[in-house]
Amino acid sequence: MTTSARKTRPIRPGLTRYRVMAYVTGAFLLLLCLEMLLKYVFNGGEAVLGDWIAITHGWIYVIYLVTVVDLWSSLRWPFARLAVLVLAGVVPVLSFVAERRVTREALDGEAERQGRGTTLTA
Amino acid sequence: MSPSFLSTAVRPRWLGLLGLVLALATAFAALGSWQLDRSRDEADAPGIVEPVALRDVLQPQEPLTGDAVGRPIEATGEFTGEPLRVEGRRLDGETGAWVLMAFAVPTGTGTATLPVVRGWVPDDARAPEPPAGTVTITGRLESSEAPTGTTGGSVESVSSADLVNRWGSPIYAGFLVMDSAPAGPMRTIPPVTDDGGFALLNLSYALQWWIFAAFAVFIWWRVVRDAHRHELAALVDNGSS
Repeated sequence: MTTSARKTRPIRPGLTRYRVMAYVTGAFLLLLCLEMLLKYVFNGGEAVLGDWIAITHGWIYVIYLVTVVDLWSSLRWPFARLAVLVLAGVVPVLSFVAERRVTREALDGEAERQGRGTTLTA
Repeated sequence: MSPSFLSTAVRPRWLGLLGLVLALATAFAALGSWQLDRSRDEADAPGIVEPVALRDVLQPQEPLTGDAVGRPIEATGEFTGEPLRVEGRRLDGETGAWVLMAFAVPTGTGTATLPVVRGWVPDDARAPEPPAGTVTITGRLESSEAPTGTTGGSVESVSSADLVNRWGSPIYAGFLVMDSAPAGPMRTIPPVTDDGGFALLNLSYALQWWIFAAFAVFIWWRVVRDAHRHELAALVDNGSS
Protein backbone atom coordinates (compact mmCIF):
# COMPACT_ATOMS: atom_id res chain seq x y z
CA MET A 1 0.00 0.00 0.00
CA THR A 2 2.79 2.39 0.90
CA THR A 3 4.46 2.05 -2.47
CA SER A 4 1.34 2.65 -4.56
CA ALA A 5 2.29 6.30 -4.99
CA ARG A 6 5.24 5.19 -7.06
CA LYS A 7 3.31 3.05 -9.44
CA THR A 8 2.26 4.58 -12.71
CA ARG A 9 -0.71 3.31 -14.58
CA PRO A 10 -0.84 3.33 -18.37
CA ILE A 11 -1.90 6.76 -19.58
CA ARG A 12 -3.00 5.95 -23.11
CA PRO A 13 -6.63 4.83 -22.52
CA GLY A 14 -7.27 7.87 -20.30
CA LEU A 15 -5.51 10.14 -22.79
CA THR A 16 -7.66 8.84 -25.63
CA ARG A 17 -10.85 9.37 -23.62
CA TYR A 18 -9.75 12.90 -22.84
CA ARG A 19 -8.87 13.66 -26.48
CA VAL A 20 -12.22 12.42 -27.76
CA MET A 21 -14.09 14.50 -25.20
CA ALA A 22 -11.93 17.56 -25.89
CA TYR A 23 -12.99 17.44 -29.53
CA VAL A 24 -16.66 16.71 -28.82
CA THR A 25 -16.84 19.44 -26.16
CA GLY A 26 -15.07 21.94 -28.40
CA ALA A 27 -17.39 21.18 -31.32
CA PHE A 28 -20.54 21.46 -29.19
CA LEU A 29 -19.29 24.69 -27.66
CA LEU A 30 -18.94 26.21 -31.13
CA LEU A 31 -22.45 24.99 -31.98
CA LEU A 32 -23.72 26.51 -28.72
CA CYS A 33 -22.05 29.84 -29.57
CA LEU A 34 -23.78 29.81 -32.95
CA GLU A 35 -27.13 29.10 -31.27
CA MET A 36 -26.57 31.92 -28.72
CA LEU A 37 -25.76 34.32 -31.53
CA LEU A 38 -28.89 33.34 -33.48
CA LYS A 39 -31.05 33.28 -30.35
CA TYR A 40 -30.11 36.57 -28.69
CA VAL A 41 -28.93 38.70 -31.60
CA PHE A 42 -31.27 37.68 -34.39
CA ASN A 43 -34.29 36.09 -32.72
CA GLY A 44 -35.01 38.14 -29.59
CA GLY A 45 -34.26 35.37 -27.08
CA GLU A 46 -36.29 32.58 -28.68
CA ALA A 47 -34.40 29.34 -29.35
CA VAL A 48 -33.55 28.82 -33.05
CA LEU A 49 -31.92 25.39 -33.32
CA GLY A 50 -33.34 24.38 -29.94
CA ASP A 51 -32.60 24.22 -26.23
CA TRP A 52 -31.27 20.69 -26.71
CA ILE A 53 -27.90 22.13 -27.78
CA ALA A 54 -27.39 23.89 -24.45
CA ILE A 55 -28.64 20.86 -22.51
CA THR A 56 -26.43 18.43 -24.44
CA HIS A 57 -23.39 20.72 -24.20
CA GLY A 58 -23.84 20.89 -20.43
CA TRP A 59 -23.80 17.12 -20.01
CA ILE A 60 -20.97 16.63 -22.49
CA TYR A 61 -18.97 19.13 -20.44
CA VAL A 62 -19.65 17.05 -17.32
CA ILE A 63 -18.26 13.96 -19.08
CA TYR A 64 -15.31 16.03 -20.33
CA LEU A 65 -14.56 17.06 -16.73
CA VAL A 66 -14.56 13.41 -15.66
CA THR A 67 -11.95 12.57 -18.33
CA VAL A 68 -9.90 15.66 -17.40
CA VAL A 69 -9.82 14.81 -13.70
CA ASP A 70 -8.97 11.21 -14.49
CA LEU A 71 -6.09 12.15 -16.79
CA TRP A 72 -4.82 14.88 -14.46
CA SER A 73 -4.70 12.56 -11.48
CA SER A 74 -3.06 9.70 -13.38
CA LEU A 75 -0.36 12.03 -14.75
CA ARG A 76 0.11 13.77 -11.35
CA TRP A 77 0.13 17.14 -12.97
CA PRO A 78 0.06 20.33 -10.89
CA PHE A 79 -3.20 21.87 -9.76
CA ALA A 80 -2.90 24.87 -12.11
CA ARG A 81 -3.02 22.60 -15.12
CA LEU A 82 -6.32 21.12 -13.93
CA ALA A 83 -7.72 24.64 -13.70
CA VAL A 84 -6.61 25.39 -17.27
CA LEU A 85 -8.21 22.20 -18.61
CA VAL A 86 -11.46 22.89 -16.72
CA LEU A 87 -11.58 26.36 -18.33
CA ALA A 88 -10.59 24.98 -21.74
CA GLY A 89 -14.00 23.27 -21.95
CA VAL A 90 -15.91 26.55 -21.72
CA VAL A 91 -13.74 28.94 -23.75
CA PRO A 92 -14.42 28.54 -27.49
CA VAL A 93 -11.57 26.88 -29.45
CA LEU A 94 -9.34 26.61 -26.34
CA SER A 95 -10.11 22.91 -25.90
CA PHE A 96 -8.60 22.14 -29.32
CA VAL A 97 -5.42 24.05 -28.44
CA ALA A 98 -5.20 22.45 -25.00
CA GLU A 99 -5.75 18.99 -26.48
CA ARG A 100 -2.63 19.31 -28.67
CA ARG A 101 -0.44 20.47 -25.80
CA VAL A 102 -1.78 17.87 -23.38
CA THR A 103 -1.22 15.05 -25.85
CA ARG A 104 2.34 16.13 -26.62
CA GLU A 105 3.33 16.54 -22.97
CA ALA A 106 1.62 13.36 -21.86
CA LEU A 107 3.44 11.33 -24.51
CA ASP A 108 6.75 13.08 -23.70
CA GLY A 109 6.26 12.27 -20.05
CA GLU A 110 5.50 8.66 -20.85
CA ALA A 111 8.63 8.35 -23.00
CA GLU A 112 10.75 9.76 -20.19
CA ARG A 113 9.27 7.39 -17.63
CA GLN A 114 10.02 4.47 -19.85
CA GLY A 115 13.65 5.58 -19.79
CA ARG A 116 13.96 6.05 -23.51
CA GLY A 117 14.61 9.73 -22.96
CA THR A 118 13.43 10.56 -26.44
CA THR A 119 10.80 13.17 -27.14
CA LEU A 120 8.05 12.52 -29.57
CA THR A 121 7.19 15.33 -31.86
CA ALA A 122 3.50 16.01 -32.28
CA MET B 1 2.84 3.79 13.29
CA SER B 2 1.96 5.34 9.96
CA PRO B 3 0.10 8.66 9.99
CA SER B 4 -3.56 8.60 9.02
CA PHE B 5 -5.20 10.38 6.09
CA LEU B 6 -6.66 12.81 8.61
CA SER B 7 -3.24 13.87 9.92
CA THR B 8 -2.35 14.96 6.38
CA ALA B 9 -5.74 16.57 5.78
CA VAL B 10 -5.49 18.88 8.81
CA ARG B 11 -2.20 20.44 7.72
CA PRO B 12 -2.72 24.22 7.24
CA ARG B 13 -2.09 23.95 3.52
CA TRP B 14 -4.79 21.35 2.92
CA LEU B 15 -7.20 22.96 5.40
CA GLY B 16 -6.79 26.20 3.49
CA LEU B 17 -7.51 24.42 0.23
CA LEU B 18 -10.53 22.76 1.86
CA GLY B 19 -11.88 26.20 2.83
CA LEU B 20 -11.45 27.37 -0.76
CA VAL B 21 -13.06 24.25 -2.17
CA LEU B 22 -16.03 24.45 0.20
CA ALA B 23 -16.56 28.12 -0.70
CA LEU B 24 -16.52 27.15 -4.36
CA ALA B 25 -18.88 24.21 -3.76
CA THR B 26 -21.27 26.48 -1.83
CA ALA B 27 -21.27 28.98 -4.68
CA PHE B 28 -21.96 26.18 -7.19
CA ALA B 29 -24.78 24.77 -5.06
CA ALA B 30 -26.31 28.27 -4.79
CA LEU B 31 -26.11 28.63 -8.58
CA GLY B 32 -27.88 25.25 -8.83
CA SER B 33 -30.71 26.46 -6.58
CA TRP B 34 -30.97 29.66 -8.57
CA GLN B 35 -31.33 27.65 -11.79
CA LEU B 36 -33.99 25.46 -10.13
CA ASP B 37 -35.96 28.61 -9.19
CA ARG B 38 -35.60 29.90 -12.73
CA SER B 39 -36.75 26.53 -14.00
CA ARG B 40 -40.01 26.91 -12.05
CA ASP B 41 -40.44 30.57 -13.05
CA GLU B 42 -39.83 29.89 -16.74
CA ALA B 43 -42.44 27.15 -16.71
CA ASP B 44 -44.99 29.39 -14.97
CA ALA B 45 -44.47 32.63 -16.83
CA PRO B 46 -46.15 33.02 -20.21
CA GLY B 47 -43.74 34.19 -22.88
CA ILE B 48 -45.69 37.23 -24.02
CA VAL B 49 -47.54 39.32 -21.48
CA GLU B 50 -49.21 42.20 -23.34
CA PRO B 51 -52.51 41.18 -24.96
CA VAL B 52 -52.84 41.89 -28.67
CA ALA B 53 -56.05 42.60 -30.59
CA LEU B 54 -57.82 39.52 -31.92
CA ARG B 55 -57.91 40.88 -35.48
CA ASP B 56 -54.09 41.12 -35.52
CA VAL B 57 -53.75 37.40 -34.86
CA LEU B 58 -56.76 35.57 -36.26
CA GLN B 59 -59.43 36.19 -38.91
CA PRO B 60 -62.81 34.40 -38.99
CA GLN B 61 -62.83 31.11 -40.93
CA GLU B 62 -59.05 31.10 -41.13
CA PRO B 63 -56.73 28.51 -39.57
CA LEU B 64 -55.01 29.23 -36.29
CA THR B 65 -51.22 29.43 -36.52
CA GLY B 66 -48.99 27.81 -33.90
CA ASP B 67 -47.66 31.23 -32.86
CA ALA B 68 -51.14 32.40 -31.95
CA VAL B 69 -51.94 29.51 -29.61
CA GLY B 70 -51.64 30.55 -25.97
CA ARG B 71 -51.32 34.24 -26.90
CA PRO B 72 -52.98 36.79 -24.63
CA ILE B 73 -55.76 38.32 -26.71
CA GLU B 74 -58.11 41.28 -26.39
CA ALA B 75 -61.48 41.14 -28.16
CA THR B 76 -64.39 43.57 -28.26
CA GLY B 77 -67.93 42.39 -28.94
CA GLU B 78 -71.08 41.10 -27.31
CA PHE B 79 -72.06 37.87 -25.56
CA THR B 80 -75.09 36.33 -27.30
CA GLY B 81 -77.39 33.38 -26.70
CA GLU B 82 -77.40 30.89 -23.85
CA PRO B 83 -74.28 29.50 -22.16
CA LEU B 84 -73.21 25.94 -22.99
CA ARG B 85 -71.63 23.61 -20.44
CA VAL B 86 -68.47 21.76 -21.55
CA GLU B 87 -68.83 18.75 -19.24
CA GLY B 88 -66.19 16.65 -17.51
CA ARG B 89 -63.54 19.37 -16.95
CA ARG B 90 -61.41 19.18 -13.83
CA LEU B 91 -59.92 22.04 -11.84
CA ASP B 92 -57.76 21.49 -8.73
CA GLY B 93 -59.01 17.89 -8.51
CA GLU B 94 -62.73 18.80 -8.69
CA THR B 95 -65.01 17.85 -11.55
CA GLY B 96 -67.09 20.54 -13.17
CA ALA B 97 -67.76 22.22 -16.47
CA TRP B 98 -66.39 25.03 -18.59
CA VAL B 99 -68.86 27.83 -19.32
CA LEU B 100 -68.86 28.36 -23.09
CA MET B 101 -70.62 31.24 -24.86
CA ALA B 102 -70.84 32.76 -28.29
CA PHE B 103 -69.15 36.16 -28.49
CA ALA B 104 -70.17 38.26 -31.50
CA VAL B 105 -67.21 40.26 -32.82
CA PRO B 106 -67.91 43.08 -35.37
CA THR B 107 -65.80 42.55 -38.50
CA GLY B 108 -66.77 45.53 -40.64
CA THR B 109 -69.07 43.55 -42.92
CA GLY B 110 -71.09 41.99 -40.09
CA THR B 111 -70.20 39.92 -37.05
CA ALA B 112 -68.23 36.71 -36.58
CA THR B 113 -68.63 34.33 -33.67
CA LEU B 114 -65.73 33.74 -31.30
CA PRO B 115 -66.29 30.82 -28.92
CA VAL B 116 -65.39 32.09 -25.43
CA VAL B 117 -64.80 29.98 -22.33
CA ARG B 118 -65.70 32.33 -19.47
CA GLY B 119 -64.47 30.08 -16.66
CA TRP B 120 -65.01 26.88 -14.73
CA VAL B 121 -67.96 26.02 -12.45
CA PRO B 122 -68.45 22.98 -10.17
CA ASP B 123 -70.96 20.35 -11.31
CA ASP B 124 -73.79 21.67 -9.14
CA ALA B 125 -73.33 25.39 -9.85
CA ARG B 126 -74.79 27.64 -12.51
CA ALA B 127 -72.69 30.21 -14.30
CA PRO B 128 -73.34 33.87 -13.49
CA GLU B 129 -74.88 36.00 -16.23
CA PRO B 130 -72.39 37.50 -18.70
CA PRO B 131 -72.06 41.28 -18.94
CA ALA B 132 -74.66 42.80 -21.30
CA GLY B 133 -73.86 45.05 -24.27
CA THR B 134 -70.51 45.66 -25.94
CA VAL B 135 -67.55 44.67 -23.77
CA THR B 136 -63.82 44.13 -24.17
CA ILE B 137 -62.61 40.81 -22.85
CA THR B 138 -59.09 39.42 -22.44
CA GLY B 139 -57.77 35.89 -22.28
CA ARG B 140 -55.60 33.45 -24.16
CA LEU B 141 -56.28 31.94 -27.54
CA GLU B 142 -56.50 28.16 -27.79
CA SER B 143 -56.91 25.93 -30.83
CA SER B 144 -60.20 24.07 -31.33
CA GLU B 145 -60.59 20.63 -29.78
CA ALA B 146 -61.72 17.56 -31.73
CA PRO B 147 -65.43 17.65 -32.60
CA THR B 148 -67.67 15.35 -30.53
CA GLY B 149 -71.17 16.61 -31.49
CA THR B 150 -73.45 18.77 -29.37
CA THR B 151 -76.67 17.90 -27.57
CA GLY B 152 -79.00 20.20 -25.63
CA GLY B 153 -77.19 22.63 -23.37
CA SER B 154 -73.96 20.70 -23.04
CA VAL B 155 -70.98 19.69 -25.16
CA GLU B 156 -67.95 17.52 -24.51
CA SER B 157 -65.39 19.60 -26.38
CA VAL B 158 -64.85 23.13 -27.61
CA SER B 159 -64.87 22.62 -31.36
CA SER B 160 -65.58 25.31 -33.90
CA ALA B 161 -66.57 22.53 -36.34
CA ASP B 162 -69.37 21.55 -33.94
CA LEU B 163 -70.27 25.06 -32.86
CA VAL B 164 -70.71 26.42 -36.39
CA ASN B 165 -73.76 24.11 -36.68
CA ARG B 166 -75.24 25.67 -33.57
CA TRP B 167 -74.16 29.29 -33.89
CA GLY B 168 -73.81 29.66 -37.64
CA SER B 169 -71.11 31.10 -39.86
CA PRO B 170 -68.70 32.92 -39.86
CA ILE B 171 -66.86 31.53 -36.85
CA TYR B 172 -63.28 31.72 -35.60
CA ALA B 173 -61.17 28.56 -35.76
CA GLY B 174 -59.90 28.93 -32.19
CA PHE B 175 -61.46 29.87 -28.89
CA LEU B 176 -60.63 32.32 -26.13
CA VAL B 177 -60.22 31.31 -22.47
CA MET B 178 -60.96 34.38 -20.35
CA ASP B 179 -58.51 35.40 -17.65
CA SER B 180 -61.05 37.48 -15.68
CA ALA B 181 -61.24 37.25 -11.89
CA PRO B 182 -63.53 34.60 -10.35
CA ALA B 183 -67.21 35.62 -10.09
CA GLY B 184 -69.51 33.72 -7.69
CA PRO B 185 -68.99 29.98 -8.19
CA MET B 186 -67.11 30.56 -11.46
CA ARG B 187 -63.31 30.30 -11.33
CA THR B 188 -60.52 31.24 -13.75
CA ILE B 189 -58.97 28.37 -15.73
CA PRO B 190 -55.17 28.48 -15.41
CA PRO B 191 -53.04 27.84 -18.50
CA VAL B 192 -51.72 24.32 -18.89
CA THR B 193 -47.98 23.94 -18.27
CA ASP B 194 -46.76 21.25 -20.59
CA ASP B 195 -43.72 19.82 -18.78
CA GLY B 196 -44.82 19.33 -15.22
CA GLY B 197 -43.78 22.76 -13.99
CA PHE B 198 -40.07 22.72 -14.80
CA ALA B 199 -38.19 24.23 -17.72
CA LEU B 200 -35.89 21.44 -18.88
CA LEU B 201 -32.89 23.63 -19.71
CA ASN B 202 -32.70 25.28 -16.28
CA LEU B 203 -33.35 22.00 -14.50
CA SER B 204 -30.44 20.50 -16.43
CA TYR B 205 -28.19 23.45 -15.48
CA ALA B 206 -29.24 23.11 -11.83
CA LEU B 207 -28.16 19.44 -11.75
CA GLN B 208 -24.87 20.31 -13.45
CA TRP B 209 -24.00 22.97 -10.86
CA TRP B 210 -24.52 20.44 -8.09
CA ILE B 211 -22.29 17.95 -9.90
CA PHE B 212 -19.60 20.68 -10.17
CA ALA B 213 -19.91 21.27 -6.42
CA ALA B 214 -19.33 17.55 -5.79
CA PHE B 215 -16.39 17.67 -8.23
CA ALA B 216 -14.70 20.44 -6.25
CA VAL B 217 -14.86 18.40 -3.03
CA PHE B 218 -13.69 15.26 -4.86
CA ILE B 219 -10.64 17.04 -6.29
CA TRP B 220 -9.65 18.27 -2.82
CA TRP B 221 -9.82 14.64 -1.62
CA ARG B 222 -7.67 13.48 -4.55
CA VAL B 223 -5.03 16.15 -3.93
CA VAL B 224 -4.83 15.40 -0.20
CA ARG B 225 -4.75 11.65 -0.79
CA ASP B 226 -1.80 12.06 -3.16
CA ALA B 227 0.00 14.26 -0.62
CA HIS B 228 -0.72 11.68 2.07
CA ARG B 229 0.73 8.88 -0.04
CA HIS B 230 3.82 10.97 -0.71
CA GLU B 231 4.29 11.40 3.03
CA LEU B 232 3.95 7.68 3.60
CA ALA B 233 6.38 6.88 0.79
CA ALA B 234 8.86 9.40 2.22
CA LEU B 235 8.59 7.70 5.62
CA VAL B 236 9.32 4.32 4.08
CA ASP B 237 12.32 5.71 2.18
CA ASN B 238 13.75 7.31 5.34
CA GLY B 239 13.21 4.14 7.33
CA SER B 240 14.97 1.93 4.83
CA SER B 241 18.01 4.12 4.25
